[in-house]
Amino acid sequence: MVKLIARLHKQTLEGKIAWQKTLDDGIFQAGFPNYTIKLFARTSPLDSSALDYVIRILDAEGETIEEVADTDFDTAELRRNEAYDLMKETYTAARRIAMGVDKALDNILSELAD
Amino acid sequence: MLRSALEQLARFLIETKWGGIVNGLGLVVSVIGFAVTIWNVVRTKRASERAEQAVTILRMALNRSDAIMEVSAAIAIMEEIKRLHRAGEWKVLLDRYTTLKRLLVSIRNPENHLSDEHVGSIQSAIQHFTDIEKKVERSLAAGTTDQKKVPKLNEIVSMQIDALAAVLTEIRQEVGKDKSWKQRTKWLSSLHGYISKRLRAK
Repeated sequence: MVKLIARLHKQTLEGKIAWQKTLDDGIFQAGFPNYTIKLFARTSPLDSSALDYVIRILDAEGETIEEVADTDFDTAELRRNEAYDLMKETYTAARRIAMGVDKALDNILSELAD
Repeated sequence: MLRSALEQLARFLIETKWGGIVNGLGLVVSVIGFAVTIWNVVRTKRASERAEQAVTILRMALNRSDAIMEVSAAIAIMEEIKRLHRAGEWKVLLDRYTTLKRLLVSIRNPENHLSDEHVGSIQSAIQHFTDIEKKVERSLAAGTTDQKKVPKLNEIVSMQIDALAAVLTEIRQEVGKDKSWKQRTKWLSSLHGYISKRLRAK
């Protein structure tokens, strides 16, 4: 799972994953052959002012097969605060891709250049 | 009678140098026969390989043609789903979601040789329609279907239409740049050149 989070973070920041909006606001999804990953933030059950970042893996039939939050990590491989930073960055980048923020900025910049 | 004739012939061959010549000729005929047999075996093998290749190319072309029809049908169903959302035909929609998902699963088939990126897009579409179906089913059961959610639903459906249109483009481009087809065209063109040359020489 640690490897998956690291790879997801890297490829999302590189713009290689096609994140999409879903019916539910604030939940973004990306399809892979036979699996789908959903990424979202939810209010932390321990601190209502804080957010937990969650990755949900669904199989080809749309059933959830795994769900992890940044709070589930506290190992030698990945400390809890590192997991939080990685997943938060991934979430922010995924949101930008899904909402088309980068494309919009590029368009505006090209218009301004003229 | 036949026996005595053969005995006479054998005696003639032994007594004259013709025996050696016939022996030599027999050897030459055997070697030529063996070479012709090998050549025929090689030719038959090549022909069967070419036939197998042609069948594979035909099968791939048929798969691609099926895939093009299925993707077009899926896009048409998605357009219909958008119209049905607007009309609030929720019960009819549940059937359409199921039909569409079945079609998308079929398009995802590895025999269609789609890129991982596009298989991912199709998987994502399947997930979207699974989620939409669950929500509509729950709303119908609770009697809370709401037309206000239609713009958001149709936004998701439109995104999937765009994704499938990209898949359709990829399949169409693949038909154009298929290596096997290129090789076949090259072979046919060289055969045509050879025949024209021979005809000109005559």
